[in-house]
Amino acid sequence: MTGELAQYAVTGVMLGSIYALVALGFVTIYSVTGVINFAQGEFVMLGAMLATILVNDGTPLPLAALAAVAGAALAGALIHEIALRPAWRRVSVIGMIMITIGVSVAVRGLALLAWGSDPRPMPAFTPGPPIELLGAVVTRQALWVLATTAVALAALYVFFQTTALGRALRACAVNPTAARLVGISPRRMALASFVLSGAIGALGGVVLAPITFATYDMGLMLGLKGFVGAVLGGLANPPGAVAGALILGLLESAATPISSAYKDALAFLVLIVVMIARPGGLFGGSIGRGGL
Amino acid sequence: MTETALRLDGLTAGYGALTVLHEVHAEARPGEVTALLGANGAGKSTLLAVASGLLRPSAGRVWLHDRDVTGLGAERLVRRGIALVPERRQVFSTMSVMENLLLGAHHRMGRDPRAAVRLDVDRVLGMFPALARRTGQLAGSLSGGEQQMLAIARALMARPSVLLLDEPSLGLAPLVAREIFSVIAALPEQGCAVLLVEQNARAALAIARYCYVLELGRVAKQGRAEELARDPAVHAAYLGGRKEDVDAGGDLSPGPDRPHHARSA
Repeated sequence: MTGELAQYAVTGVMLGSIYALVALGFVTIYSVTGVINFAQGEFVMLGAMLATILVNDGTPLPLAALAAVAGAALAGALIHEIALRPAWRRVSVIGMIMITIGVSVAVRGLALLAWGSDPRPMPAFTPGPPIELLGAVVTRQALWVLATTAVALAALYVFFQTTALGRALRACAVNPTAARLVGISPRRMALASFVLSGAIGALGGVVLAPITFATYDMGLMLGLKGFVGAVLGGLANPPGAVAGALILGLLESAATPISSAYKDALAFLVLIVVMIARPGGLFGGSIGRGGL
Repeated sequence: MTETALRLDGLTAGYGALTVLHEVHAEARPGEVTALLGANGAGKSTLLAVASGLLRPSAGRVWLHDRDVTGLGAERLVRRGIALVPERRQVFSTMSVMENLLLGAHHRMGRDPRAAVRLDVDRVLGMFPALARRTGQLAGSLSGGEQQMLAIARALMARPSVLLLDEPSLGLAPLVAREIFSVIAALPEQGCAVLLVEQNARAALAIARYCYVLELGRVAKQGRAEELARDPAVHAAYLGGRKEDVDAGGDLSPGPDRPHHARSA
């Protein structure tokens, strides 16, 4: 029984880790720009797809992973410059959010045209039998997911707390007008937030690819799950978003034996309940920028 | 000194269909405090918004050391040497005092050596000892007066040649306001041009060399501060009527804010 519980817990935390990386992308862009980027899931798809294609072409894994993350970061920059930058000031925030939905449909369509609809398998990072951990059987790739997420979270924390760019991004999230007054350009910070979110999302895609395979439409559901995680955490609260994503992962994992078909519906049920009962997220506070 | 640091030339500006400033001319010189007085809604904050690059004028030019900087955004003007201490402080509330100060020097990062920025941190903390004891504290948890000190200190970290101050004494206890005014009075010693918007006309005139009075978006009066302080109309409108108060000088007790208060007094 404890083994079974541990199994659900490990699966839940692994799922939640991927959602957490997506959720952090939402939080980063939302905090800096006020826009909810519904193309966030496409960064995961791009990361998974690029890494898979490169690895299957014989590129060494670390190089492929790096190229995939850089590619998605570049995609983030292009999305900002082409689709969003011309709209700043002319379009309301709701309009900007609509644009991101359009971008996500476009990216998915382009991915379908370029890479087709067949799932592309990717070998696990370290092949070998699963490992037993606290009575649960854990695949080696799941450990890669957990470790990568942990390292990424630590790196992000250091980045936001100690670097000039991280500090500028936070300042822009706290008070955009005051940020301009000290010489921080909100447009540049918006661009930086899209690049950073592209990279974070793609990293999730790279480690996830060996588990789910890469498909052109994998970003849709992952993006929505990450969004639910971010909303659970209060949308502008990075540790809250990680916690919200992990909670969602655990809930889904716990619901799987009851009905795996309704697993996805559960996330949205949770979203509805939270939005009605605690619109500021599980951890208090109000919806609003000011986090990072 | 005849050189001007900041020159506003025929500025017309507003928000949408509402025009707040009408062809305003004003100057701020290095090494002086220039005061900008006026009732609420006279356009003082709008003038600072244009001068700092937060708002584009619909007509007129902004000159900084005889260079046309009209239309440059605030994030670029601070690099050229114009820093604004905005109304209601606007510190980065969820960040520490030290982080606020380092952000003040943001545009110098990568250009000035770290040691120079560190020296400036020590310099501005020397001006505000109350902040020096709280560098690790979150800015939002400071008192109103300390937040105002931090807002000024943050602006000074940019090493501005023109410092714009919007209502630095707003909502502060007289004693705290006095401390802040004594720091502002000393700023020009380093060659900085200070343009001070203030409701407390008495305190502003006490430290200013020159003064403009804005009414309904136009310059209604201008002149040397001590002359304006003796002007009966300015007196009645902004200094509370009794001339003896002015001659006593340096009294920082908040005077009446609006002209109609003064008339009823």
